[in-house]
Amino acid sequence: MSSVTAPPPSPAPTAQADPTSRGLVASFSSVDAVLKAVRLVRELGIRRVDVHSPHPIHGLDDALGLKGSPLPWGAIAGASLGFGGGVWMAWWMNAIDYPFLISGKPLFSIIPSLPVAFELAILLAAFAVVGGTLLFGGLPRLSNPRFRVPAFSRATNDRYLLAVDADDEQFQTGRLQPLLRQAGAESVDHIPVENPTEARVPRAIWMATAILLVLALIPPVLIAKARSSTSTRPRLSFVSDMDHQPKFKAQSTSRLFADGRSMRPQVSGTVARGDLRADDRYYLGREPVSSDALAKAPSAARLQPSALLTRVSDVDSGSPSDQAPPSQAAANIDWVTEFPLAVDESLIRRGQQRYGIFCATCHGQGGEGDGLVTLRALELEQGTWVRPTSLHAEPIRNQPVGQLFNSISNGVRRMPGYASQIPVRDRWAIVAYVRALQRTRIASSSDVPEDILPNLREIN
Amino acid sequence: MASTHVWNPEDNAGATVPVSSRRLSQLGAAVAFVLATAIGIALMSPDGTRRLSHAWLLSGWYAVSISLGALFFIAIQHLVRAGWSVSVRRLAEFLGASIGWPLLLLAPLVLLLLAGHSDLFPWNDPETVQGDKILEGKSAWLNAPFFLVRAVLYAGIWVTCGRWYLRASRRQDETGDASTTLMLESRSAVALLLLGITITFAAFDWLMSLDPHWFSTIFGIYAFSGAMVAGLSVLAIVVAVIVRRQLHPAINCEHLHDVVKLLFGMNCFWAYIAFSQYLLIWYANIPEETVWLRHRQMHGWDSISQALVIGHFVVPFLVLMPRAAKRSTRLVIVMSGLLLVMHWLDLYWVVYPQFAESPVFGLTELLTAAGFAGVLAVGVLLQLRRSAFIPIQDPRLPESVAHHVH
Repeated sequence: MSSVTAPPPSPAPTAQADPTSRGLVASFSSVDAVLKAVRLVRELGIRRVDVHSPHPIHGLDDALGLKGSPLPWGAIAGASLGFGGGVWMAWWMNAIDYPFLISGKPLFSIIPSLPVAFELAILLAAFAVVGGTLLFGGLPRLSNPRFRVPAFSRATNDRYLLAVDADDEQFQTGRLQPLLRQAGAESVDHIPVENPTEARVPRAIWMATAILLVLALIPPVLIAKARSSTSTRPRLSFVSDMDHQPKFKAQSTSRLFADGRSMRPQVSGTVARGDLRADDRYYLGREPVSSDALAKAPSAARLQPSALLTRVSDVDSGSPSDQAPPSQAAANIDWVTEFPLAVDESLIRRGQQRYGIFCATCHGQGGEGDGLVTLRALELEQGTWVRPTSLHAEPIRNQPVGQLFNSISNGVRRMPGYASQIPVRDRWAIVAYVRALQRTRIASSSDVPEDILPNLREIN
Repeated sequence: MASTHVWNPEDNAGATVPVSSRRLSQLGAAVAFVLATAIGIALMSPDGTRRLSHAWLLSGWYAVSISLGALFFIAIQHLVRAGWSVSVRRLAEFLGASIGWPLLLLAPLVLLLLAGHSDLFPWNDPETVQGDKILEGKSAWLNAPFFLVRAVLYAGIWVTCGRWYLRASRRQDETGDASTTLMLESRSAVALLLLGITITFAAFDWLMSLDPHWFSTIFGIYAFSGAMVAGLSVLAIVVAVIVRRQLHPAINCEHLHDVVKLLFGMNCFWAYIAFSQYLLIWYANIPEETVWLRHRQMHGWDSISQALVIGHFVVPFLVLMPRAAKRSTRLVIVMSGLLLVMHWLDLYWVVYPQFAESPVFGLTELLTAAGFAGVLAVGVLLQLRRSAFIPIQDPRLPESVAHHVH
């Protein structure tokens, strides 16, 4: 540190840098003086100039030749990212990852996404600005050699300090010092070269950081211990009204409702969203039931019309007997004979795959009623096992597609209904595949395309 | 760029702008002719009076809201002891002091109400109210005599406020008494409170009760935000013209920049409030609230709604965001002009769906809007020729002249 009250005898102005100086700091007592000095210094072509002032100075930016900050671009980038991210988050979470219908609102709508997008835009813009300020300002910086200049302490009080960096190509101590004095500087001091030990982060900070890091390890260690050991004490309940909510659980009793059920039945005459299955041909495999037919239906179905619409098997299995032939009611039902959806190869392939998963275990891959489960049951001589009818049997072959569909949906004899496991379209796919399977036994060689015929002969 | 004028009180800064009486009376006659034509058209066309009364209310509120925005601006500047705005404050004072003219022209609507007309406000029709539980319940508030009392109260407060600010400011031009500024600062708190309450209830009375069944508790703030945008837009245009032509050394680009910053902020506030109203109604989804917005999303009103989102918010927001845009007189004039059109459209969107199945626009709307804008202009010009358009003796004027946006 070399305080220069009397300028050291400087030889002819040279561009040689003084190895003990990082530059000059000149102290001024008025705004006008420092502005004038800035202009003088910049006229010399010196660009690495900075002013430290206790308050903002009008016109200083222009005098210093400061260009516009790139921070606004960071802010708008952060804001756009936040806005887009907010909308994306609202869309992905509620419409894609966990579709959750709230009071009939669309799964995704821009309207309720805007508040979260707005808040995120503000947040990320703020992050970008704070981060950019630190980045462009070279912060955090714990030490600056300018602080070693005694005059600098008044930069936050009543003096305006002009600092010129020795790194500047045009920097010449010998020329600058008299110039700054002429401009009215009260003092001109050398900025001392930074002492590497002073620039270092103090040992105390390292120690404190290390201690904090170690302390921060304690909670995860405690959690890990708790997760891998047992305890006889009851679990801590931090938010008890979250753990013990005053709500009804499924299948529990309720004293609130007269019937004592906590699970409320559907309001009569209503259909849940997405559950309207108006197309009988597609959903039931039968021609639509007119109101006349409904009136003639068995009394059980009349009492509960929904039974007729959704569970035809209830009607046709008049007796629960296993061996009972399809009841008269089932025969009277007007099953659809045409597929109520377009049948193409992809549907049949899908049916083949689903058949392999759900049907073949009992019915066998070929539909002969010789699946692995069936064979095993027969081998164990299980009296209760009923061997599935071969799908190639004449009565089955003559069944309309609607009846096959109904059998898959609601079961027949000992076979359970598969409506809950197999979606409607897949059930039709299986029916389509079964039809194709049946064709294989009654087909003639004329049914086989000409280009495949030779291959078949080879196999045989 | 900011001019490097050094303002000197010895300059001819306090001169009044010469507005010739001949020109003024010509403008007055033109305004009277335009409004008379609008009335004539309405009387000749079927159902024209109903349309005219809506156009009249729309244009009247439009002009009043510009003045109200200016009054809010003045009150806020005093309340926060702003230094920067002193040199442009007088312009707002002119606008605020002219509020009486459009209010006077709105008076016939109240008289028609007293005479039993219910073209505008269905609640004034006893047959409509009869048997309607909601309207019967509201009849204690929504009845013609009480409506008149309130209208007089609002108008009285606004006119008093506007004239008071201008008179006090002008008195200071002569006395140079700094205590006037202190008095204005302390009483502006009361003024702001009165203005805030009156604009809220006036918006309920004059705009919201057009659909007497409907209600929105945020409606007053909605009207306030629109008024701020309108008032600041006019101020921004005037300041931009002064800066562009270098008409006065005390008003420069720095003031324009700050006026437009306020305008930008208030326009965002308008969008925030308008969206808040929409979001809550959308979310709650109760019929008695959604019915109002539902009609505004069909029969062509949907295009108006979308135009508002884009023209009133998105475009000005994106265009006026950069610093350079706020300092460009040309861009500011274009965007403030757009916002003035959009403020009209905003009020159109509030008022017109109450009687029109789908958007209608014709001479009636154009002439009444032009007429009321002209009335306000005449009011401002009358004030302009009476005193300087800078408060030359305001103790903070030097601070304002030296104002510099960082």
